[in-house]
Amino acid sequence: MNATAVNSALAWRTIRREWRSGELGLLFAALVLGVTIVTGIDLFADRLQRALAGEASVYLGADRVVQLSDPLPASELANARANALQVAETIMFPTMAYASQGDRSSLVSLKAVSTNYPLRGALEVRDAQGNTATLQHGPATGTTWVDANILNQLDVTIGSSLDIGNRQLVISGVLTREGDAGSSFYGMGMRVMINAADLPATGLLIPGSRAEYRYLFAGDTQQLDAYFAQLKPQLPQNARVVTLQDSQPGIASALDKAALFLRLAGSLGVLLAALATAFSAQRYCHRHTDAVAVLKTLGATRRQILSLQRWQLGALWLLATTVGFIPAWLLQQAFFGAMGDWIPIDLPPSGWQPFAMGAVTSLICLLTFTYPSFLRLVDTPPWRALRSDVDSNTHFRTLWPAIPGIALLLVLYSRSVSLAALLAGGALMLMVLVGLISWLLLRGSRHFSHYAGSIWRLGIANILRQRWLSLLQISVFGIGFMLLSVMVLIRSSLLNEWRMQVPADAPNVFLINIAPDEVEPLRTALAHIQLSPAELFPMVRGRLTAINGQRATDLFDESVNAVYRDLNLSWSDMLPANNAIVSGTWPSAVNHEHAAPVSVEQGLAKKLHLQLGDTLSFTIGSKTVLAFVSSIRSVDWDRMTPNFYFLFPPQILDDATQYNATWMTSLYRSETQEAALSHVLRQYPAVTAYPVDDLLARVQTIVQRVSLAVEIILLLVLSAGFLVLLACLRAGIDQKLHESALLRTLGAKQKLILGSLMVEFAVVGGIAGLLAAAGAELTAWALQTYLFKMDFVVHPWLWLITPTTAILLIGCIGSLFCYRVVNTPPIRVLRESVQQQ
Amino acid sequence: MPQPILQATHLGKTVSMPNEELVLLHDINLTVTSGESVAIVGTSGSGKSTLLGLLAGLDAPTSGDIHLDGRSLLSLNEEEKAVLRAEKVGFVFQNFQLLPSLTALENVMLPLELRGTDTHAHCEQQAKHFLDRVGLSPRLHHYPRTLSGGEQQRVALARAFAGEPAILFADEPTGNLDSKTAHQIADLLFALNQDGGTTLILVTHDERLAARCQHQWRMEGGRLATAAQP
Repeated sequence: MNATAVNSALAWRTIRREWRSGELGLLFAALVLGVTIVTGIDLFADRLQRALAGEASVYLGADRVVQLSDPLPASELANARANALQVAETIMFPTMAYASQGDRSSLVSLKAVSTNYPLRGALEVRDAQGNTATLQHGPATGTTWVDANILNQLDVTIGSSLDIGNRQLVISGVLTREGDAGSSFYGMGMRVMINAADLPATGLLIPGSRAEYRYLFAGDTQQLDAYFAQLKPQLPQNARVVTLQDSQPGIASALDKAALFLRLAGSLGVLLAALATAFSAQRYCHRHTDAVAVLKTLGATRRQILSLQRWQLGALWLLATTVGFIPAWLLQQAFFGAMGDWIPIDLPPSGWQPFAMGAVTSLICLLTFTYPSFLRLVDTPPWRALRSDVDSNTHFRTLWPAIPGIALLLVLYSRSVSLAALLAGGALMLMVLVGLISWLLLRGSRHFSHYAGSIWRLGIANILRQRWLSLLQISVFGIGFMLLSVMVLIRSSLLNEWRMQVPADAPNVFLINIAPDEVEPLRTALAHIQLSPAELFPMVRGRLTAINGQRATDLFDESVNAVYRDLNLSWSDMLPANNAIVSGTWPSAVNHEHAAPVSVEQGLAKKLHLQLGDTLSFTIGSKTVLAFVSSIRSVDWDRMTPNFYFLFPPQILDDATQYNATWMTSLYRSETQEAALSHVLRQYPAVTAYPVDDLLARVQTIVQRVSLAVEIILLLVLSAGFLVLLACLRAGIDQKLHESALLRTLGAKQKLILGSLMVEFAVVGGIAGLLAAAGAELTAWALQTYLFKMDFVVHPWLWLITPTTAILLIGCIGSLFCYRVVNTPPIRVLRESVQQQ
Repeated sequence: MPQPILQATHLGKTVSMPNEELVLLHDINLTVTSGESVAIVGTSGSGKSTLLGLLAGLDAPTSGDIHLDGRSLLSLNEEEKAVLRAEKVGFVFQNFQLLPSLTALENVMLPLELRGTDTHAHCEQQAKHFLDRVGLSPRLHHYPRTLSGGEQQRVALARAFAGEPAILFADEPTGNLDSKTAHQIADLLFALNQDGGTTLILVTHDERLAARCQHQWRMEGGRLATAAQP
């Protein structure tokens, strides 16, 4: 037999034997947990991302949309279909709709859709009986679906006819949900949806008419990419490609934070599992030092032992990785289950990348946390078999490669160098600090123990005798508890923030198109039915045409959509709620001769590279307004309140003779108030109510489900922490058992032995818990301030709960490990420890 | 004329302490011929075990050389020494030194498996044979922790002899056992030694055990007080 075959067969037998005897159990468990956390979270994050994309698709009605003011050539559409893409078309423009019976008419937003519209998501249509159907197609030819407000305004019902241009169409339903209505409802009229095949007969669309053509595309991402790569250069200047990211900033921000939390939790989970691996490896090696010496006396060469270990590690890697995939898959399924119907079932299965991540993680864990210890083990001199009383303490040198290992894991996992650096740097700094402070505390406790009873003296003497192990344990427990506390803190504030973000009474109706003279009467009428709107904002539609004298469209391509479309400009004498000045000062009504001060939203300012003092030209109707950036302002887009990119002080745009301003607001109305609101609005026919209940409900569901995911992850990370605790406690247990057995043979009572052990564990736990609380506050502050952009508050309860939990947990588990020593004959413990030393 | 199997010339071992050099062994010369049994006796700290470690190639001397089965240990590197041990040397330790994760049978099979020259079945057969010789057939699948001290040392004897070594080193083989068990183990050790024609180097402070060997050498303060000259 050749050497490789002999070694592999022997390694396999050794693994089986070690496995059977339980020696590899903890190391294996730590590796499996690492693989499970990494793969499970990655699989889930992968699906979450796909679901997010799917969610956004619903708002777009497609995977990608091209929006332009002229039709796309038919050849392009044929080309798309030839590339296995689905294509749908919508044409939108404002027009007048007339009730066929009676004399009512109204300006409406006509949307002609191809039969296969929408490609993603669905429309909801209510019929005359009040039943709502979810449909994936537009209205049939000869029929129309309309906004509920139209029924009021034109005094028509389902079944009545509308005259649109030259065509008469029967109202066959009320449109209650239109996913891709998006946020462009400002200034748009009420929706009338017809089949595109009816459009020519209306005679409304003639060459030169202003209309918005939207082409909806859906299909495989790669094919979409390929198609758009060739389409883009041929698109006219004014065309805009709308992708998924543009649609819902509120939901996206909640999901982004959730994803960040998942990555953070995953990184911490990996860190904890890695620590558990390192400890298990140390213990494994410590217990195998004599075995290696004996192997050498039996004639095993260094190379042979090394090869045995490599085979063993390889097999361990393969086994732990494969086994780890199973709970990872189940975990992902559980997440999936928790997400319910929100994640569509027909999502393509996850790719191989999460599994590769899991495999690479366990490999890095083994190579950097375990292999160095094994390498050191190989160098055990054979004479140790003769003198096994020689000390073989934990060697810290073998732990050094773990530092780049941890860094590599963090970068790989978080895919963010800054997050990795923050965590690794923080952990390293805390490790040093924790070591230093716990050394001081230990010295203090020695002082204290002089005045204490024998139980305390013995317990503290134990800690001091194994000073390095004690320091290492305190550091690891401290960091472990710290990481867990950080998770709990961030989770709580995240959930709180989300709950606050979408409170039960968040505004669920927007009122737009309020004429200036209707503002006060409407406010009074609403107050009369106990409805209190948020602030009322005036709104003027205008376009940003120049920045610092240069044409805006020359400065930015169509990807910067803000300079290619009309924006809602508003004014206010004070900073609206949920807005905060980031730099500059709030525009005052100071009389500026040449230019008006304007406050710009932070995100847009960044996109347009705007600085304080930059001059801007707005074209409003036929007028031009000159302005300069006087402040940059952050806006909480997550609130369901009117928000504006540009805010002027009063007296600039409120000249009714020059600018055609309308007002808008948002308010919360309960189901019981719906009829009353409808009644009020009948008196203001021009005002359009735009309900956003559907959107709100969606956000709330998503928040609930993402919160659940966060909880599950937290549970997983807690179990990783528990494993570290076990591994770390076990590291010093053999020695303690041996010493306690010795004490018993010397006549020490059970009370003294157990008591001193409990003191030992409690002191270690107490110090670790205190340091953990301090570290957790500091890290949570850094993470919340710099990464999650959230407000931070101090948590006094943390300073009580963390040390108490640490004392109880470490005390209980430690004593449980050691309990055996007081109810087993000491000679047996001594004999076993002789064998194991 | 029997051939010398083990020969040490001017063997010395010194260890460096923080403030001084500690001489453990001082100019030791000895020769053991094939098939002989030799007891190295002496008080604790006289250097018996250190000498055993050097003779078996487990540790390197500071000065002098050792020839084991005609090969100079000085000329061999650690890997070659290990190969030599696998082929020619057996060990019995005071603390038994069985691997706790292996059963009795697996412990005995291990040196044969490490040699890599025999099939798994043959290793098992050989191991079973020697465990039978030491009277442990009913305990093949027991782990060391479930065996008594005497039984553990019997497994260790089976392990040492299963490889049919040319020379066997035993370090206080009865040191951890009560006198009755010690007697049984000694009987077994010498019986197996006789059967295999093995050379035996025994370190002990038990005079009765030493008396059963053909030669007795006494160590005193790192020197061989009574020794056969090379």
